[in-house]
Amino acid sequence: MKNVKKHLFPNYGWKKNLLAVAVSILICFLASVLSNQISLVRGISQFDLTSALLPLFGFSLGIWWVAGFAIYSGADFLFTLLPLETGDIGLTASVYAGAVLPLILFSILPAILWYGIRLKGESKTEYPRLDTSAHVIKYYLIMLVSVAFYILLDMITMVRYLSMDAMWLRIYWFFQYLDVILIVGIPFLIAISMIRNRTLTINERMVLAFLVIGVIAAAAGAYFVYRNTMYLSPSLFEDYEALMKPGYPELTDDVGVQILERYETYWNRFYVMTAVMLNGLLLIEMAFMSSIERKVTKPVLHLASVLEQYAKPEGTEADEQPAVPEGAEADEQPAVPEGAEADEQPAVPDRVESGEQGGSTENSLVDNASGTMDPATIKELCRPYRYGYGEISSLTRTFVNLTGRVDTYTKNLRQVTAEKERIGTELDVASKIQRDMLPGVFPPFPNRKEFSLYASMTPAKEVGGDFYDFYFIDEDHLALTIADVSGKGVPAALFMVISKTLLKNQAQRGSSPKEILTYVNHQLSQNNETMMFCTAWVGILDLRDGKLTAANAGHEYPAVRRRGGSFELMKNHHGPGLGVFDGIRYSEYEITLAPGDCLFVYTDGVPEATDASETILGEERMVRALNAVPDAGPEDLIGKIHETIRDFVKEEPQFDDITMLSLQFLEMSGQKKARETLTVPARVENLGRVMDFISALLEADGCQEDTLFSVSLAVEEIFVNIANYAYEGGEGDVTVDYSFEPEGKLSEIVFSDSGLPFDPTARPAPDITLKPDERQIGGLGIYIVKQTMDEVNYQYSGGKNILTIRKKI
Amino acid sequence: MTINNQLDGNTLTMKIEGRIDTQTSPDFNKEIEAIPEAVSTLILDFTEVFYISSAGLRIVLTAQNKMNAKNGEMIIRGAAKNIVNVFKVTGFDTFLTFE
Repeated sequence: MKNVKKHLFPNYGWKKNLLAVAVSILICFLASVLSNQISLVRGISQFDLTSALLPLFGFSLGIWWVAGFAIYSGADFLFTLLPLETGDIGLTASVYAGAVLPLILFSILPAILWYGIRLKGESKTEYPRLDTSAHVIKYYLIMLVSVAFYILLDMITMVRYLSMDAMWLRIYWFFQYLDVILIVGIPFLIAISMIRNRTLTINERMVLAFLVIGVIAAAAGAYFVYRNTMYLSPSLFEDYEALMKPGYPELTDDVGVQILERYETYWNRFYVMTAVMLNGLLLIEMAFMSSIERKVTKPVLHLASVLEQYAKPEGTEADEQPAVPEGAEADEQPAVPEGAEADEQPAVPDRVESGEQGGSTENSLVDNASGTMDPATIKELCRPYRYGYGEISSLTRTFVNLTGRVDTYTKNLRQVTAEKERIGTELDVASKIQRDMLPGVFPPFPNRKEFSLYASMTPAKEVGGDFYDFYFIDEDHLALTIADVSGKGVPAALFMVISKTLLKNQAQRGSSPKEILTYVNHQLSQNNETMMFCTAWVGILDLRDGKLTAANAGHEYPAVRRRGGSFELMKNHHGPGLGVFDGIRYSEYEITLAPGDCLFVYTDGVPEATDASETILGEERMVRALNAVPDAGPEDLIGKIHETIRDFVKEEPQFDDITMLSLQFLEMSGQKKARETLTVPARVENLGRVMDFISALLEADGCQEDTLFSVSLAVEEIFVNIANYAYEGGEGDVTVDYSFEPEGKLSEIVFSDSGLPFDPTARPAPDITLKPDERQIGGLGIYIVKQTMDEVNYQYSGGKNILTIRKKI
Repeated sequence: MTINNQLDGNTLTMKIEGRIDTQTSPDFNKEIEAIPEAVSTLILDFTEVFYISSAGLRIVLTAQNKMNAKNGEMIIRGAAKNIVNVFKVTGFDTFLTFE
C-alpha cells in the first residue's frame, strides 16, 4: 500500500503539482478535440481518447494528472451538455458525479493494481514498463480488469438514465477502450521506458513489433469489415460522407436511420475486430516471449550474472578463500540458486537504474566474504540450466567446465608462483650470505701502514662463483686470494664456499702458496663427480721485505705496476685449475714488491666483458685502462676498471661475475723491527744461554744497566718457571723471541713453549706485608716480573703458551 | 758466585760475590744451612752481589727466619740499588735490616 501511495500520489512540490494539473487539463482538451475530430458520429463512433488515456495518467503520472482530467471533464460536462436541458443543479451534479466518478476510479484503479500486486521475484514494484513478458501480462490483465470494472460501474451508475441499447453499446465501449489503451498505452509506456533507460529490452521491442503488426492487421480487418458493411452500397457511402460534414442534418428519415444502423454496425464490428486482432497478437507475443524468457533470456542473464561475479577482480581477501570452511559454503549453496533465479529476472536488465535490486542480487550470489566463487558454488548456481539438450544447457555446461579448469589452473599457478617466490627469497639470502663471506670493509686493516688494499665483487646472476679473500697469516704475512669457480648459480656458490674455506684454512696453517694449492686441489678432486673446478691465484706477501710468493691454478695473470712505471701482466707459470686432476704439484714464484708498487688481480669477468657486437674487452684494453690512471691507488684502479667496463659494454647485460683485488705496497715493516729467536731445551742449565742471548741484544740496542738488570731478572724468572714446570719432567723446547722497536725504544720478549697450558699472570700476588716466617716461598718470581715490566701478557694459542713481556729501554 | 765466611765471635760475615740466581742459589743455601748454632749475628755482605733472582730471595728469607728463630739478627751490608729494589718490590725491605 505504501508503494501504491508513493507512486499514485507523487509530490513534486506544489508548483510542479499545479503544473501537472494544468498540463493534464490541456492534454485532455487536446485529446478531446482530437477524438471529436475523428469521431464520425457522436455517440456511436466516438473515439473517446480522453477517457481511454485516463488509466495511463493515473498509471504513470499520478494523481495530479487525474485531477486535471476531473477538472476538465467537469467543465466539459457542465458547459456543453447538461445545464441546457434541465437547469436542475442537483440533477446536473448527480449526473456529473455519476459520469465522472467512475472515470476517476477508472483512472486510479490500474495504478493501485500495478503497484499493489507484486509479481514473484519483484523485490519492489517499479514504474510500469513492459520489459518482460510477465510485465506485459500484468499490464494486459490490469487493463482488462480496469476497463471491465469501469464499464460495469458506468452501467450501474447510468442505469437510470440510459436505454437498453445504450447499455449494450457499453459492451462495444469495452473493446473500444481496450483498443485505445493498447494502441496508445503500449507505445506510451515504451516511450517512458526509453526515456528512462535509453534503451529497450528485447521484450519491449517485441511488444512494439506485435503492436504494429496488430495495428496493420486491424487496419486490414477494418477494410474488410468496411467492404462488408458499407462498401456494398456506394450510395449510402456517399451519404455517409455527407454525414461527416459539420452540421450534419437530422437523421430522421429512413435513409438516415439505415445509414446510422449500418454505420453503427460497422464501427462496433470494427472495435471488436480490432480488439480481437490486437489481443490475439498480444497473447501470442506474451506466450512467445515468456517462452523465450524462460528458455533463453533468463538462463543467459543468470549465466551473465554468475559470470560477472566470477570474473570480478579478486579482492585483497581473495587469498583467504581456502580458509573459508567448506561446510559454511555448502550450507548456503542450496538456498542461493533459487533466490538468485527469482531475483535475477527483473533485476539484471535494470541494473542501470535500479541499484538496490542489483545489489540484493549480488549479495545473494556471492555468499561469502571472498570476492570470487569456487567452481562448486558456480556448479550449484548453474544447476537449473545444466541439464538438457538445448544450446543454453550446452553453454552452461561448458561454462561450468571452464570455471573448473580456470580454478585448477589458478591454484596451480598460485602454488608455482609461491614456490618460485620462496626459491627466489632463498637465493637472495644465499646470495647475501655469499657476499658476506667476502671481507667487505675497506680499509680492512686501518692500523697497518704497510699497504693499502681494495677489492670488489659484482655478481652477474643471483649467486655466482667468484671470490676474493685476504687475511693475515701472522703479523707479517698477508695472504691474498682471487678465484673463479666454473659455472654459475647455486652449484658454483657451494663450490665457492668449499674452495674459499679450504684455501684459507690451509693458508692459516702456515703453508706456502704452492702447498696450499696442492693441498686444496687434492681435497677438491676427491669425489668431484660434477667435475666442477676453480681457478685461483694465491699470494702471500711478507710485509717485512715486500716479498710476494704466489702460485697460480689456471687463473688470470696478475698485473704489477712498479713505482713510477706502468702495469704489466706477470706471465708466470701456472698449473691447471683446482679440482681437475688429483695429485698435481703446483709451483710458486716470487715477486718482490718495493714500496709504491701496485698489484692488480682479477677474474675473467674483467677481460671477457662483452659489448653488443660480441667483442671482448681483452687484457690489453684492461691494462691500458689501468695505466690511464698512473698514480692511482687500489680503490681508484678498481673504480676505473668498473667505469671502463661500463663504457665498453654499454647496455649489454653482464654475463659473468666481475671481481677485482688490488694492493699497493707502501712500506716495509721489516725496516723498523728486527727479530731474533733462540730455541733451547727447557732445562735450567740453559738459563745462561738465554740470559746471554737477551743481554747481548739488549746491550746492542742501548739498554742501560738498571733496565738490563730488571729485564734479565724477568727473563730468568720466566725461563726458570717454564723449565721447571712446563713439561712436567719431560723434554721440550722453549723459544725466546726478541724484538725491538727503535722508535718507541720498546723491547719485546716472547716466550713460547708447547707445555701444559699455564697462565702465570693469573696467579694471585703474594702478600708482601706478611712477616718473614709467614711468607710463602712460591709466586715471587712472576710477581717480580709483573712489577718490573711495562707489560706482561699471556695467551694460549696453537697449542702454545705464549708469554710476552715488554719493557721500554 | 763465591762465598767467603769470616767468623768473629758470635758474628758471621758472609761475603758473596757474583750472581745469586737459580743456578747458584743452591750453593748459597748450603752456606746458610751450615751456619753454626752459636752465631747470633749474620752479616750478608752484598757489596759484590750484582744480581739476585727470586731463588736467591728465598734463601735470604730462609736465613732471616733462621736468625729470627734463635733471636739473632741478620744484616745485609752494602747492597746495590738494583738489589735493594728487588727487596723492595717483593716487600722484603719490611723485615730486612740494611746497613
